[in-house]
Amino acid sequence: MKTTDSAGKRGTGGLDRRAFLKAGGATALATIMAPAFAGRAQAAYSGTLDMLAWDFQPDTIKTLVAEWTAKGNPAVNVAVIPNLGYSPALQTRLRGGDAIDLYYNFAYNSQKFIDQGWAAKLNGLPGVDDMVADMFESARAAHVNAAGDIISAPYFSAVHMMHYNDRMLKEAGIAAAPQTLKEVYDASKILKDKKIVESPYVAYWVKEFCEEYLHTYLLNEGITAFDTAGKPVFADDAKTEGVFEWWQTMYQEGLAPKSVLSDDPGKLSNQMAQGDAAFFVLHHYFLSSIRSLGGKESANVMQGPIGGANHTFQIGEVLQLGEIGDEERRNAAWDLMKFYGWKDSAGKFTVFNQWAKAAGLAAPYPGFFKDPDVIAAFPDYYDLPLISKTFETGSKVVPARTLPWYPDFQAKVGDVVHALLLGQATPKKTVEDLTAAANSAQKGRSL
Amino acid sequence: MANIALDKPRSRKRATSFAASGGRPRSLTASIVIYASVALFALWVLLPVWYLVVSSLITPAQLGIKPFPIVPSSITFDNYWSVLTGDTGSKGFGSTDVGSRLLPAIGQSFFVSSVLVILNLLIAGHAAYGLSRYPFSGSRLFELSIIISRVIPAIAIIGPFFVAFRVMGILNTPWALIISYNVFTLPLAIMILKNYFDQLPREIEEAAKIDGASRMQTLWIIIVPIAKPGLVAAGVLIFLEGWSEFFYSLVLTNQLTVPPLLAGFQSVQQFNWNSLAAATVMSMIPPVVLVIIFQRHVVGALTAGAVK
Repeated sequence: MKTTDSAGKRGTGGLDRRAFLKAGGATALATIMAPAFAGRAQAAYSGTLDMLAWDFQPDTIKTLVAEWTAKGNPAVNVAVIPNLGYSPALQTRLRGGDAIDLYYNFAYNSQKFIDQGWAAKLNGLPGVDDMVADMFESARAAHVNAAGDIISAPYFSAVHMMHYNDRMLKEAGIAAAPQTLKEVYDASKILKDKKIVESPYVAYWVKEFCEEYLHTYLLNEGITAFDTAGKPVFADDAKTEGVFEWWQTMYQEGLAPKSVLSDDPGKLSNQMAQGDAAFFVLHHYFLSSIRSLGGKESANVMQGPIGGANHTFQIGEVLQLGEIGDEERRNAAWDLMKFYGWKDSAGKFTVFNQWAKAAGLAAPYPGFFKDPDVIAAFPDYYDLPLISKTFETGSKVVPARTLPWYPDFQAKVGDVVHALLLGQATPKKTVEDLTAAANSAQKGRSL
Repeated sequence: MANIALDKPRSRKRATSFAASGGRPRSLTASIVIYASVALFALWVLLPVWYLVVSSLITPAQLGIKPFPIVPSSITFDNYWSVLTGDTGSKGFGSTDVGSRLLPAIGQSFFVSSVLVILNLLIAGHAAYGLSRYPFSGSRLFELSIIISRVIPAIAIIGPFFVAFRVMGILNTPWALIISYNVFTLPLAIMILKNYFDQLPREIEEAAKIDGASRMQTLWIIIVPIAKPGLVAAGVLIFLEGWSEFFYSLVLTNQLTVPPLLAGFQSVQQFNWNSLAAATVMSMIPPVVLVIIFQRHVVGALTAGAVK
């Protein structure tokens, strides 16, 4: 959808002075150097591009895109809508014939959008193989499907980590932060029994988010949820019931607060900051949230790995390229996509660096963690080598999450898990219900 | 004088009978129960609003304190300031330039809702008057079908709207919203106004007709002035519906109005409750002022016909 606040129009209104001067300087330079850019694909397209993003620091998005435009590239109309309702709005717009060249998308939608013809496969585009090769091996399956189709580029990535209150652990005589589910249970029990904290463990267990924890906890115990064909193989693993027993026990014994089934991450971060909880498992960047709240315990909250010898869960949302008939326009949009989802023409992680500064978001590229600008962007309290190592060897993506049937399964997980937590279902029945949910989602999937 | 003297005992007798029939003053216990119930209900309704206002006046760290500070020990206007200046980024995640977008969005919401009120009162006024005064075979069914159109989910019909507006080139403009909002505001307005017109005496219209007034003249010169409370009530409710609508605005525009802009405070899993509370309080001011000004008409019109 065309918007009235294109990047070009924001030149003096939406950009700060520094960005404006940079953009102006770069434009002047681009004009002088025009012959040198003559052979570049993006210079061949003279129209504007359309980009749709969700509302996370839209001013930063526009500034970044304006920087790209200032390097002799086409102007970009950046439209921003809220994350809440983004998926139905995006699908309605694409079905209604809206031509969007580049857009944010949820990873679980990525294969479906390819199948519907709303997003283009990236295979064969200049430099795409280098982009994939540049990623952590663990991240590739989120962007390349089993058939070898490259379906998306990263918008951001994160790994589930353990946030723990170091002071409380020391007070309880716990030598090291727990990593396995059993260690988490034991440590939580000690903290509760010693009355250091009433409900030591918090997590974002609302219905919509239980699916992420399902994978986190299964991976922690070394369980593969789905095979490459999408078959729910977690049911075949004897350890799966044990994971659900742990989950149910944590809630039933009050080691997690009763309100945790509806608490939002802002509240959970605040509970950590105020010392109302000792453990919080969620994406690594929540450490920024806890620390920036400035609560009485904020400075005592550290970050550690989970999963022990096994893995944690790696997540991320994606960028997708629209189906664009015009080759020059497609090449220009792809160039923008590379800039936004990989590196700039100078080989710097310009965009990811901004997201790191803004909220501690990461990129699934080893080079990202070695970039001096990125290292400087993360506050000192982050253990970047640990996060990098977690991306490299300590985490896995779940490729099935990009399959078209997956959102139907995802929608059912919350009800099944909440029934387990509330004691309305046994761990055994939970395994059966989740298996049935996965099978029915695969059979009944339709647009 | 004699008549008056004779009347007095009769009046007393009437009063006694009135009291015997249940009109006597309430007992103290009954009054306490009623007032306590009303206070409890008011508390139930107003507590979330108070929570919102307090959240907008405290820091993120205070927000996490248990129990929640119903009466905060200290307040700050930083949240309002940060929303107005756009400096929401350093204290949480999500929108950082919402300040520069909030006031224009309030302006657009006001424009959309106001035009919608004018259009709806014109169209629904004529429709409701026709249904009230000139019933036809199947008019009751027609009325029901109008009401049913309100229950169609927005997502079911937004696709065709999107295509039509894309072809017309009015996506991301107030007109896309003004046109599409009629789907749910027109039935509401027709329902309210038809109910109100039904209560107005027909004799006055018949007198106007005898004096030579045409149907339209009767409507504009006679009915509209006496139906003013009903029109105001319908107008206020339409305004509120237009002001708070989210989904059409989400799909057909890029955060042109207030609701999708406020939703932008919720990022993927990150929230800035304090800034959201401040922005919400600010965006509530126009509709709240409107309702306060016209509340008498709204209540009167909505209860029209309740007591005959």
